[in-house]
Amino acid sequence: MSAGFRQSQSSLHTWSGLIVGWVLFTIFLMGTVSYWREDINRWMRPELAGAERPEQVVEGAVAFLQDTAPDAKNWYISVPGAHEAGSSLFWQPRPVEGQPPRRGRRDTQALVGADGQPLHARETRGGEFFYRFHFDLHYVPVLWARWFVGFCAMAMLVAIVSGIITHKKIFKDFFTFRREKGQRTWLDGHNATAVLALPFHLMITYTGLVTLMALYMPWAAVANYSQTDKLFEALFPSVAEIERAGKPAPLVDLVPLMRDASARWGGRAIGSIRVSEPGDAAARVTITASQTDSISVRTPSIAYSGATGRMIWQSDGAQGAVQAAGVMIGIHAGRFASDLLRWLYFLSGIGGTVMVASGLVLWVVKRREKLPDPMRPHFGFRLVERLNIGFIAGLPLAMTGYLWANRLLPVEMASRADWEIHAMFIVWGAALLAGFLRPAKKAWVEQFALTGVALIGLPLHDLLGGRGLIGAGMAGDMRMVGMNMTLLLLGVAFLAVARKVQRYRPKAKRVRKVPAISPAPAILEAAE
Amino acid sequence: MTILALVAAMVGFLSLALSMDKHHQEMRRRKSSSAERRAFRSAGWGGLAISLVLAMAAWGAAVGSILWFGILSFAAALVLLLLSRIASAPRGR
Repeated sequence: MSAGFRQSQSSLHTWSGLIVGWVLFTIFLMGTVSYWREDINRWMRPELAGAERPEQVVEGAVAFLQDTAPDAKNWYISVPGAHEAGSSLFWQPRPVEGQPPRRGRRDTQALVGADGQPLHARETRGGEFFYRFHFDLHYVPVLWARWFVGFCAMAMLVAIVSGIITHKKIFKDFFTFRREKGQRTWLDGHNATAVLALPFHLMITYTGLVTLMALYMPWAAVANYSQTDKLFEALFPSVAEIERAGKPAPLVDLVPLMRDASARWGGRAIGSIRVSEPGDAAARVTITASQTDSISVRTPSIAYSGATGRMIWQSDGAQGAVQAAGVMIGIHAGRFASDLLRWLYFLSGIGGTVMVASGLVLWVVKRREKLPDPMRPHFGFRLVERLNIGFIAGLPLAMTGYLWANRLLPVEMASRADWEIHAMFIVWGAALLAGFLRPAKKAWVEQFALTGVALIGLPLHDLLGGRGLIGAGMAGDMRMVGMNMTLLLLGVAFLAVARKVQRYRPKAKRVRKVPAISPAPAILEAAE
Repeated sequence: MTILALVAAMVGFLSLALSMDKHHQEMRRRKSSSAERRAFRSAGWGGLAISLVLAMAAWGAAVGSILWFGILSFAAALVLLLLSRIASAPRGR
């Protein structure tokens, strides 16, 4: 390869990475924590804690719905699996003539706890917020956000490929990480986090684009299907909608149906249940398998008559293309993954986050030595340096703030879930501002240290409230124990990073002195 | 079985590192012969292959191969950190 080509790829890598770097960092970090989405959900609704008993929960859910919404058009019941204890329900009221159909209102949702009793839990978006934010962002229209995120993901793919071309000694340097060598260390760290988890980075970026491909590249679908409904019917065949018979008939017990469906799928767990026209002779129960037992997110369904319990429809195997897309999305989201594999996903995600972060810091470190006047750097340099602080150190702090808001906001507060999110953005805004106002090194140390203390504080707060680590351990609720331990561990890691940055003294290299101090090997240490 | 897959991957990566002059020098304080390099290289790739077989045996072909990639990244990161400790340790024992 000619030097000119490699040089052009190097510039492409630098700028495609820098322009979207902060967004990529955000997407990567939010996506990474989303591998524990259900566990965060559970942690953020401590009222729901307990061991899972899916059949009891479903029976409780049905009893609740029969009391609350006996004449609804549809009931939707999520079946608790290994990660959640209770069930969230929502129902679609019978549409009234002349009124638009209602959707997703708060008064048509409820929670059922692990004992099958309806539960009044604090209002929160839980881990779902991190998950949605990583492709829908917030405060902006969803479609714009998805196009923007798609653009950034495409830039990521460009940065990865051009990075591979630029990094000519990719195999020779495979095991090379030189410590405490300033810029060299940053470059090694950037390369190591990139190369060691390269299969993950390529996979996650590519399949991430696949998840939203119908939005980005609708032409094939538009050219062949006049209506979206038709396309969906062709892609995801489902049992035909039913008409209400108008003859009341009691709903059969759902538990034998769950057992039957599970047996037909060779013992797979149940993910969700939909009951259409409950209490009517035409009622139907559609049971869908959980996404935890297959890589593909396209899971099979079976429909039963709600009056007799007879099986009336079964989804056949999805078509090749649908299955391929389902597998790609499945590999991206890791919902099938056991805890062990989830940890590996999580670590790879951290690797990707550190890769993006170290790339951003490297841009600054590389240019610092070449500044004409180190005491008065030009605007672009200052902007990148300070934005780095507000994102790389500020976002983890803001996310911790979100968890704290979950514990501190009054349980009965109006639009509580929204305020948890506002709290996150308020903390983030403050961190960004502090990044610009404080001296660079102090800002790094302060924000990392604060994040560490705040993370460690969360399990301690719960412990003092009497239902933390020890309470969960006594109750055998290992998911909650795991969440608490992970928060503690992350807190310690952030304190270690802060200490490393604090202690870092750049060696006076060559003649020119390095003015501000970069948190050189700190983040890399955190990845260890 | 999964632990064994991780161990096999780590041994594999260590062998691959030993097949490279720079790391061989760091670890064994001498140059390697070309026969040694060949042996380390085959042992290295062999280790990675065994790791794949073990992961697939424990988790099935589909999930096992996905898990294997995760194990590879993790094992390579551990070997990298180990080597960088060795390289930055003071010379002489």
